[in-house]
Amino acid sequence: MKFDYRLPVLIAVLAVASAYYNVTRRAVPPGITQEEHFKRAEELHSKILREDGSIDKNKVREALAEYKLALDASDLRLSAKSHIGAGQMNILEGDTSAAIAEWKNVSVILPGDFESLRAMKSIADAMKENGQKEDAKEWYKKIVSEFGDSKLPQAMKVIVNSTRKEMN
Amino acid sequence: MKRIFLFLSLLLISLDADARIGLVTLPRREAVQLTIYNSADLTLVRERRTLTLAKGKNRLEFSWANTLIDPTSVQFDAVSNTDKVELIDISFPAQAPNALVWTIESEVSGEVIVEISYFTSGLTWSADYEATADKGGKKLSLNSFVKATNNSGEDYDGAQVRLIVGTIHLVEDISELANRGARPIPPPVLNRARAMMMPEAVASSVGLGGRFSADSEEPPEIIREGLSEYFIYTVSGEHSVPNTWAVRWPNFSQSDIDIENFYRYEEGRYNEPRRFFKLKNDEAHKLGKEPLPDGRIEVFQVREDGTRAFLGKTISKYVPVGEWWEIDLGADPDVIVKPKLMRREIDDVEFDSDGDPSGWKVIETWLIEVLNSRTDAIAIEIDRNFDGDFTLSQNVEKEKYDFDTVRFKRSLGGGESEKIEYTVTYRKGTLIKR
Repeated sequence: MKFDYRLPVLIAVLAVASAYYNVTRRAVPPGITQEEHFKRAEELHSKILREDGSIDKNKVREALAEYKLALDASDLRLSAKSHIGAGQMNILEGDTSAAIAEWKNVSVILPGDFESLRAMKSIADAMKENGQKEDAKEWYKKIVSEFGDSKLPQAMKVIVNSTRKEMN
Repeated sequence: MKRIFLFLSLLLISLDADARIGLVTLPRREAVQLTIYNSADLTLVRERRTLTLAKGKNRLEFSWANTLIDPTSVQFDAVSNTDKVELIDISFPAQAPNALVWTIESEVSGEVIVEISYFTSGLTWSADYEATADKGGKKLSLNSFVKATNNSGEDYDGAQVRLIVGTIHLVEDISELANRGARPIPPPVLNRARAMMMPEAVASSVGLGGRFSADSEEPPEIIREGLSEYFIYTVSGEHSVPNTWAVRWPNFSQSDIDIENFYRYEEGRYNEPRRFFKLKNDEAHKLGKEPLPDGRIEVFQVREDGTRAFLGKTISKYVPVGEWWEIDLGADPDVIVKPKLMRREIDDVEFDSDGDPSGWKVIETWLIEVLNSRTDAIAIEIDRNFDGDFTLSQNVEKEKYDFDTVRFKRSLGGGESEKIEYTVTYRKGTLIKR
């Protein structure tokens, strides 16, 4: 009698698929919420600057990993702040383009918000710092066009006013 | 001070060639004013510091990490050399979460006084009242306190405190703006020298009144003034309001206030008769100088032997000038009210052309037994609610309270009882007149 391999093969395939899903797809391990990941990230972020003024690269990497786990939080502000934090960690790792990619998400998640303005200003400043002067100008223009006509508190108005100068 | 450096880690850095030329430790706050609103979780903080600026561009880092500050509300203004110091840019440093860096252009080199203001949540205030009735329950002594509670994540030392009574409109809560979903829990601060301060839980449990700062024999004066639709209490002097602590100051005291002592029963609202003290916030009651802010009230009564009996603790709502203030002392099992339905009948039935009933009257007879098993006399109000079109029998003493409520007011001596009997007629269907 010939042994039927189909059932054991199916079970094996399902087991592998299940393990793969658990490892790769589940963003939040059981018991740890995205808010907790964000808190951990902020805690690490606040400690990355050593007393001698140098950057603790290990903490930067750990904070980046924690921010990434909080990126798709259902709380949009938490998600936006996680993108901002992740971008800041990318900058500290020297990866400007990754930082800009993170910050671009913020204006989509919270358009018109202070966090969005903060992210856009960071993008423009990072591009300017990186020598991408024309690209930076475009982002400064974008800030003025999105926030220029609004009645803003000083913390936001100063950013818009300073970007007006950068546009020229 | 330690917490201040954690919160406001301000560094003065020259931008010259990106080198940190003058790393200056921030001087302590010279003055801070807290304006705390009790109708919303909102406090305006205004603080002054003297910065030493270099001529040219200076950088100043402001962090709101671990606090409930609304970052969009942060404002920087020079108080001295106003036309020579300008805030020209704000950027966000990568190495610090929840921080911004001000770029300040200064035409002068030297000390400049600046004011930093912002809104924060987590700082609240409420009123505490301590009321003591005399033996007969006719006169009341009232002590009022104001209590500020700080859970903002930041210590405020040497603060001038202003408390706002009144309602303001906010589009968004500051706590949401400040730190939505990511608020840290700061560790408690302990300081033996601060005798007047205690954690919120302790302050409420021991109910201390009128304890003052350890370094001052005299209590601070509370200056009260009306402003537009608000009323402002300004606490004289400077005070420490550390994070996670509550601080209480005496507000006013008034004795010999006339009160009415009465009971009220309303089926559905109160299961048992409740005892109330009633007084008016007006000059006739030796009050009326200001609205009474909402808060907690502890009520005592002097006993025959001169000691005080605790009657209860309740929440007091905001009482405008000229309004009655009813202090709910809770249920008293020695006063019993039992409403009983004795008879119910249907009469005067009308029929439509199909022979179905179209209108009728429901006639109910009720008996309310009231028993005062206390030794002293009481006044009691019994409210009865009626639905729809109704008429009450004329031979019973009553007063109309509102369109569907009738109030029976009675006075009973110690150990007395009374029976109130009334008949109510409800008109239904086509018989409804109103």
